Amino acid sequence: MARGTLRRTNDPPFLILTSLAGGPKHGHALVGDIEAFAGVRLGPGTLYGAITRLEEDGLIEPLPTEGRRRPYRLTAAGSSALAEAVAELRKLADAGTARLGSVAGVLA
Amino acid sequence: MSPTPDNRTAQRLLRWYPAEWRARYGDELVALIEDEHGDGRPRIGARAEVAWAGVRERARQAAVIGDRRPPTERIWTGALVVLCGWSVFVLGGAAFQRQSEHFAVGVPAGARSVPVDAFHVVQALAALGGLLVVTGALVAMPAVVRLVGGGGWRQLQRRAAWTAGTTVTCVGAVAGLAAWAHSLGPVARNGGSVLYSLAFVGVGLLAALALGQWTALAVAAARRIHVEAWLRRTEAGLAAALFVVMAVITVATALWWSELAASAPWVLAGTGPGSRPVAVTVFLVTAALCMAAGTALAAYGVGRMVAARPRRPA
Repeated sequence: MARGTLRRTNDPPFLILTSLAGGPKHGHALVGDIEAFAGVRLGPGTLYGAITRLEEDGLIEPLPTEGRRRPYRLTAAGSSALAEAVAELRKLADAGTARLGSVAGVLA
Repeated sequence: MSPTPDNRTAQRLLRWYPAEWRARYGDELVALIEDEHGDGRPRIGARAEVAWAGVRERARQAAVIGDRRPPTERIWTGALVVLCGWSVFVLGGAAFQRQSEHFAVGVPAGARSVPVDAFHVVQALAALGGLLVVTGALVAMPAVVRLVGGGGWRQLQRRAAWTAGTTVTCVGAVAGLAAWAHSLGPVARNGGSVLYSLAFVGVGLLAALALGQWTALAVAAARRIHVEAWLRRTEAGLAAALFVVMAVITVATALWWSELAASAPWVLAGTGPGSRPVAVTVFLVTAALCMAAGTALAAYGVGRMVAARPRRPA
């Protein structure tokens, strides 16, 4: 129900940036890592659509291929963009926590 | 990467993506699909997900969706989307034409004015819409001639040959069907002969295919010509006018349908005067669906043009 509706953080570019903040990864490793920390399994089409956009925007960059796989890493612009997004989410989370606290006070 | 039995499905899925994208990311995507699904074939849902992402990538590259392409390209593509909408709309118009043949004869005199007026609006605006499309083609013709003269013909040759082939076949089929119709009575022509009905549907589908191919050829040529600012502005204006025409025709058709459904439903159903049949037929449903879809597509194209237009500084 609302749990699914209210999940704002399953935006593929955000998830990919978050995963790459932990170090360079190729597609398969990204899918596994994102599933582990966010519980979301991105399909290959969705993942590469987001990778295309992030690379176009200069937020990630490719590294030399390892066999048929190509790892990606965060750029400086990608780190800044992720930091901004995280700060925004934290602001929202803080507001939500504070208001939930006052609701709990009223209900008590 | 050479295809092996294991990656053949993944290689096939790559066809949904534009060539430029495949050259950059194709091998990586194939590797990921294999990593995700091992030696087994990806399930239908997984294949659909990759294919749909490929379609979106094509649409994005063609400036049909997204806002990453330059505004001038988005405006031009918006106009082409309106043209595609018109082609779908024309199919609905053909179905409406078939349904509305001699309709006024069966309508009581007192109930005739609204549907007849609505019908005249449809006819007049259909002619205007055709004129707008022809004007758009004529305005773009010098640029198309320059494209062909500059060697661009080779890129269109194959598509043009297929289009010409389908058109000639379609004209032949229509002539044959018309000759056959003359040898049949009204009952056989209007559903009494199953063979004739099947042939009619077949020719209709062939005509739809020819129309689709002409539209695809026009779009392919339009995407390759050099578009000057005045040409883009002119075509955008014509496309916006065409959208208005389509919207008004759709409303007039709906009015025509609802008036006849209320006052003379037997005219729509082809039953005896005074009867109260359900005023829904295959032709009417086809007309309504194609007109609505065509108008919606055109609205999307106009929306893209409006969103991409240059803003005046505040």
